[in-house]
Amino acid sequence: MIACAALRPELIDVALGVPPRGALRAHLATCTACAAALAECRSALARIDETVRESVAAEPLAGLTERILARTGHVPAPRAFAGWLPLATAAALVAGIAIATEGFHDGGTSAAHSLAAWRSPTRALLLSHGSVVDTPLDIDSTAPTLTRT
Amino acid sequence: MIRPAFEQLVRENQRIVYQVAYSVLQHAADADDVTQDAFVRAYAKAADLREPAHFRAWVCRIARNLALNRLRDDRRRAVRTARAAHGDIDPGDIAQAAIDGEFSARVRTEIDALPEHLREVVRLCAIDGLEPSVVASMLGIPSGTVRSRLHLARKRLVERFVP
Repeated sequence: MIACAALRPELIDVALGVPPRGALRAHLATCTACAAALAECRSALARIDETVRESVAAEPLAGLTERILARTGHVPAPRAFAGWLPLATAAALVAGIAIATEGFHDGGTSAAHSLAAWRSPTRALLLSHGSVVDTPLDIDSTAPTLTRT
Repeated sequence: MIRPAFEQLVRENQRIVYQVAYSVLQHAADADDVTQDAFVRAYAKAADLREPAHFRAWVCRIARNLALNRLRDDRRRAVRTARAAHGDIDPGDIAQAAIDGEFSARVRTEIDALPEHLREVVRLCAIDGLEPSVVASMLGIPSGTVRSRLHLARKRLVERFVP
């Protein structure tokens, strides 16, 4: 005969994952009070574990990586392309419109033509060695010269 | 250490290192400071790291030691405690307390009451992504000791909540 009150420490061990010894397993199969006590231990343990996880699950403050890299003399590498794409697009549009308009007022179109004819050097990076390139790309020489004529 | 390699290590480990510091200090700004200091020290002493695969355990150990030093030495902690006792509590803390509820608050109190060697293990093992083997390496104890301390800590906590 097992005294239920004496089983409490063992029930907690079982809730923690320790396999019950044979006599305890047999007792749990017939004693609803001890089975309920075991369920209560497991429930309490689950809530405790969840609370502990929450207590340490703090997310770092924004910009932590950048602060670390700055302190070690590093400049963070550019990350998401999408982050600066809208700004770059807007800037290119404004610059293009300004140059084209200025060229029109001057009666000349050379600046706009230069811009239109310019092929970004980054295009070369998108082409594999096996791709056909019309003319050899010299990155330094592909920048447009935006001078009035 | 070359830049891309170090930057990658920072990005991969900064959350866990921060949470190690936070688990000791329970204060966001202090944990942020300690995380920065830990990586700066790791970078300065990178040549001492013989096995790069152990970088995580190494930098976590640095962060843990820095956090413990700060906890023991920093007078600001006493100031914060006194401020809370006088009712000068951050509104965010009040909101957090309301969310936590009575049970969570009790759990946190009981964890604080555990002996340091048990409290530390129960918190470190709760950090997502921090494997018990890394915890063992950080603390300089065998993995079996980590498991037995964790078992004992959880058992003591359950005993406090089950009549």
